[in-house]
Amino acid sequence: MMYEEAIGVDSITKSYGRGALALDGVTFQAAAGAVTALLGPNGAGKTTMIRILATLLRPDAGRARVGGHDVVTERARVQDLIGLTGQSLSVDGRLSGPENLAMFGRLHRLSWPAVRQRSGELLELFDLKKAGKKAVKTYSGGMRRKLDLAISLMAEPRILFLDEPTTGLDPASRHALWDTIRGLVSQGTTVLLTTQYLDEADALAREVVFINAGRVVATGTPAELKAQTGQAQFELIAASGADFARLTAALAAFGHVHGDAVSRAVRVAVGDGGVADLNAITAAVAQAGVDVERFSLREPDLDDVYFELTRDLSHPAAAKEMA
Amino acid sequence: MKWIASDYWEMIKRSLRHIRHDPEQLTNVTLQPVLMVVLMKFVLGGAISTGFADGSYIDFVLPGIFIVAAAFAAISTTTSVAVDLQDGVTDRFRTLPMAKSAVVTGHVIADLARSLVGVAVTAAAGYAVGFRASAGLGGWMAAIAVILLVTLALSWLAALVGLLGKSLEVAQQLAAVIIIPVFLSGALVPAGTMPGWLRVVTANQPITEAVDSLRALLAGQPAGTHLWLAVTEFAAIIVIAFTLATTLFRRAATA
Repeated sequence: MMYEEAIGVDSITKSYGRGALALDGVTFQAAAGAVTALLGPNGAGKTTMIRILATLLRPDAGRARVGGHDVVTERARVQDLIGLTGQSLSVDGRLSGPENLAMFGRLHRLSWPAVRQRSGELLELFDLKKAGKKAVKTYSGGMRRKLDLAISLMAEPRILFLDEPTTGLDPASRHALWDTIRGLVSQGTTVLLTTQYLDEADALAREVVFINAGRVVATGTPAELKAQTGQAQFELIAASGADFARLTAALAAFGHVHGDAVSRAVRVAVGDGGVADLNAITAAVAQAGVDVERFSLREPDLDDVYFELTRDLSHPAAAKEMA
Repeated sequence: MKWIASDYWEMIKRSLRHIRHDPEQLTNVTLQPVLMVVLMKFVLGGAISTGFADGSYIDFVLPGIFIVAAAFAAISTTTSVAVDLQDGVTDRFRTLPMAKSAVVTGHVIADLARSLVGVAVTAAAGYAVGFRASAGLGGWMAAIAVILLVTLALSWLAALVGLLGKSLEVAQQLAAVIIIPVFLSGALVPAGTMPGWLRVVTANQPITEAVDSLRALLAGQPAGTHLWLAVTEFAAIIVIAFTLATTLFRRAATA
């Protein structure tokens, strides 16, 4: 890695009781001053990884360093550097927003003037002033999540862990949170976030670590990951059954065509989905005289990445291929 | 050291603010003593008081009701601690460079505030039905100190129960265990009226020593050995329960 390392994870293994391994030899690095995304489906081990790095869980084996300190033997040093916004909201519902900020600021050992200044800034930044002295349990879900993040930022942590920070947020709040994260990173904060959404990783992360069933199955930039796992595809919907047959034949020249007779949808991957490829397709469609109802370009999404990266013998499609 | 004191102070403030945002928490400690006073004066009192000089049973029983109220105030610590363990907010405490024992201590200290409310309500209800103390200010101060000491000890036991319960519901049911010794004592009736085998337990257990101390202090008499036994025994309970509870919380916090 060319960047300064903020988080180094080396062969971490963790199991809960006698059950299956939640993490099975996970190794990755996260660069300082950037967003690294842990991407993967539910139950992949993302939250377990974050909890180990945030000193909430001890790994069974392997080592992890955060800001150069071991998460097991130097817990207190790590705790000085980090902020965590977990999936279960880590705010005190029976206090007001400002009371939460002040309490956690003091527990982070900030001076009283620093607490007052910082909580004023954060209430402003997250638009939480209007809630005043109301108990947090009366807040909306989005406001609670914003307060949760604000608390994590009280001590201006060098390294911030965000466990599915935008799950359950409406699109406007989601984009606002992305902007906030970008702002923090531009000021030098390192962010490790988990997400199930490829678009979120795409929008924020410099590096993506794809985890499935407790193992790292791919790492790279979002572009590299998508290029590895699937191309942009054109999707055309034929106007009738006859059109569908002719369309499938016409597009066969471009490569492997995936057709679905019921929805009359035909999918084909052509080049990188640029203008030249678009022109080639429309020319072929015009020449064949096919009536096309709708035309779209479909980017690879988490489904494609997921099925590509989690392909193993237990997967029915893969089992068929192996046979 | 300065920061550890600050951690404790923040956690005490937190628990006190919970009472302010959730004033229903005080219904338990206000209604329960009033109910006890009515019960012991008008419902059961008529039958029980035959062994007492006219009107003197309320003077005998009110010190016991103070301790019953302290016990009911104390068991709310079980709920506070068990709720914390299930709540995401504990995750954040665990990731902070703070003294973890402060989290439980905050709830226990806030209990003293609840208990003071209970003392005031019990005294007012007692006076309304004819209780009279011959103690001066000093005697009352000493009596309140004894009540708070008992609250503190029972509250640490309640915290322990909250940490041991596998769920909030289980913990709340286990908390009843803390109330039992209060009734199996000389708090509400003289231990001397019980059968011998039971008297061995009830006459010598810490609650009885505390109630006997209260009776003497509120009557303006020297409490003597009762007081020293009560102080020593409850101090010992506090040290043991504090040590166990903070160890358990720290272990839960580093799972």
